[in-house]
Amino acid sequence: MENIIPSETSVLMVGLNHRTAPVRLREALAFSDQAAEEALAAFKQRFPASEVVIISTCNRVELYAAPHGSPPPTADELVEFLADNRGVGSAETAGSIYRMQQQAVVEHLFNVVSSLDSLVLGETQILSQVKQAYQRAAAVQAVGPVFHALFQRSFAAAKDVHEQTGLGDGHVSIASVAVDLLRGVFDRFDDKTVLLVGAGKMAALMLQHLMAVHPGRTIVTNRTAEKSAEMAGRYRLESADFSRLSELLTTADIVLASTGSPEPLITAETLKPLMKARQYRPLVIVDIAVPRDVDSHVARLGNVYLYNIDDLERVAQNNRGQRGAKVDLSRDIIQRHIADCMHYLAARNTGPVVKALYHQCREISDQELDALLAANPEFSESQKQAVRKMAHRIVGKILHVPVTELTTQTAHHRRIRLAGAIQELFHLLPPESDDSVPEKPPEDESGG
Amino acid sequence: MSSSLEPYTHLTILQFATASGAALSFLAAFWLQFQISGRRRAALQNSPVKSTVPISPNWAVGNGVFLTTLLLISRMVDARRITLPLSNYFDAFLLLGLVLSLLWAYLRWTRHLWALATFLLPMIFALMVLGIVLGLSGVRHFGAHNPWVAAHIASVLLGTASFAAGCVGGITYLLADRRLKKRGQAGWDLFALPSLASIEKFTRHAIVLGFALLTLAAITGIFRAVRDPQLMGQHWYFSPKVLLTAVVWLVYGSLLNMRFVPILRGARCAWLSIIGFALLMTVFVLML
Repeated sequence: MENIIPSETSVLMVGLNHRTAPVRLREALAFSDQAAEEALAAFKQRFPASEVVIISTCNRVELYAAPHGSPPPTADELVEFLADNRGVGSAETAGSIYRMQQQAVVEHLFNVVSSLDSLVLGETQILSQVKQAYQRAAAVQAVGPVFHALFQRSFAAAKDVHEQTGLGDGHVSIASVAVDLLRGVFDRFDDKTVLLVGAGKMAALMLQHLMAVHPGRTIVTNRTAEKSAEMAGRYRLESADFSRLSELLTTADIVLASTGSPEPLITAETLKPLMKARQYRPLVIVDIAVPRDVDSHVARLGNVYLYNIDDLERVAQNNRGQRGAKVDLSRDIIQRHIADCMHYLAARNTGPVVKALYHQCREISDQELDALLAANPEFSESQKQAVRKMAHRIVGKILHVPVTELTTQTAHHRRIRLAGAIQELFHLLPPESDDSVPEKPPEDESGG
Repeated sequence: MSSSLEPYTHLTILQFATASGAALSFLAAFWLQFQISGRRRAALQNSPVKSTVPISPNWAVGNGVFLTTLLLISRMVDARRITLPLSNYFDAFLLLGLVLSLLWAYLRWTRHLWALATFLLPMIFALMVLGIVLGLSGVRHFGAHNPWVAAHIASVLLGTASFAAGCVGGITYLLADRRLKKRGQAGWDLFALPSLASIEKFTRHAIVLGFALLTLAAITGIFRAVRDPQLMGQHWYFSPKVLLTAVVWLVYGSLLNMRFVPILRGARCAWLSIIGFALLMTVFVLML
């Protein structure tokens, strides 16, 4: 008898990430867009029946495959393919590569897409990166029904996680926290002046974030004039002499202090008289220097908002803590989506058996009905209809319990054993017109 | 007073109960909003959520608006004519509540200033309670059929609504200022507050509008007092109501000239908008 039960829908994944591999190895294995396209083509050439998606970001390189065909690729072959394609020896990758299969792959992918596996918890960049990887594979027909279902469900899970928990809310880096605080004070920046006091590396780093709000004017001043001139040249800023600091403080709305001065450069005593000249306009001072450039008493002045590196770190820490607290809630949401996805994959196994079973029973019932109706021509049309309905209801009611028992089995081996037993007991053959796989068993016509 | 106006001058217990129900709806909406924020915070801190929110705050506000409208209609039925409810404090404060509910809806849905909308709710409650208290002390008829009186009452009413909004802006500003000054310590993100600049802009607009209306109210009031000396007596300008109103006018006038008196910027401006409104409320209480 021909076996109509498909082998278990299989999914495999091999890869490495920031936890298992040093940056050197991740760089060596990373794919550019073009390299990924070429790799997908090479994979399809070697395993034409299998589905494949390659995810490559700065923190991870992962190859997802749904092996079909004979013989289907194994996890070892996937690792070998990855290493060969990137020209890295298998010995080098040996300790860093992880291999997963079946439910572990589904769980891993859902966690990755929802950013629970990311270096920065709650970041949303990974979702668009995985979407891109999936679309790239779909464009070259490397994605089939299994991966369409798997990846689209993972995107839905990530969307639910972000919408329901706000996992990505609140910035977690010091520079973006500083920008958040500025937005708490000002509603526009095109008429604001930023003053950089100090022209070191930290100032340059913060400046890049500050530029995102497009301030109207940016002035840099430094105790060493050459350094401020150099920075002004590099970032197209205005440079001013350090002796004009008081005057500059009168014009500025945002001050970023980062000098190496051992003594505070701005104190409450120096700033207080300037506030009048500033017409008491709000002033935000971000002091990222250690030791501090701005005396902490400055914070007591009205309309002055002072943040030092510890304050920014505290807010960032707080936001990180809140993201951590949302992890459990996120995992609950993901679990629901994983269960749904596993159910779909399981239904792919039992679908043909259920369909054949219904088909065969209906055929028997129809044959008997035809014989009965032919032998009793005196039946009116309404009586014939009633008898047909009754026969269909009986089939539905008899099959309801075994079919439910089969399709709700979560253990793969038990599901396959039951499906095999049903096929054997009923002598099931594939329905002639069957080339599609139903996701759910047919509805019980009795409605019960 | 003619007997046909009898029901109009007396408030029934049902009308008081409806007004109280409406006022409490606004307070309930505020409480519900806080519960939601509390729940959010509890969820963030991973602690078990203690309370549940039975209905949305929007529904509570809707209920308040419905009851107030119903009550104003019943008052028109009492008066046996369609009229703006400006002829006594009870009706006028109900109308004030409705005007501020409109502002609430505007802030809640049209602008991303919903924190201001939340703080407007207890203000609506307080004003409606004041209206009920003024109503309990007896319904005074203003004689709003006189256009001068109607203009006076209307500008007082809308001016009060503007200053109430300014006061809410001031309170929100102080909260936002305090939060920014606290530098990331506890209570950092219970509410997403608007930026100081946008709150200040909102407060300034409210005060400019309120000041114009208060000026109009003062002019019409003075005109009335001069034309009808019996109304407030010969030395009407020495009455506490008039003197206090002059102080209120000066307070708000100074706020408007912030450009020339820059020391009043920021938190000081916020405090003055609160103090100005408190004084204005005192003028109302003086009339009890």
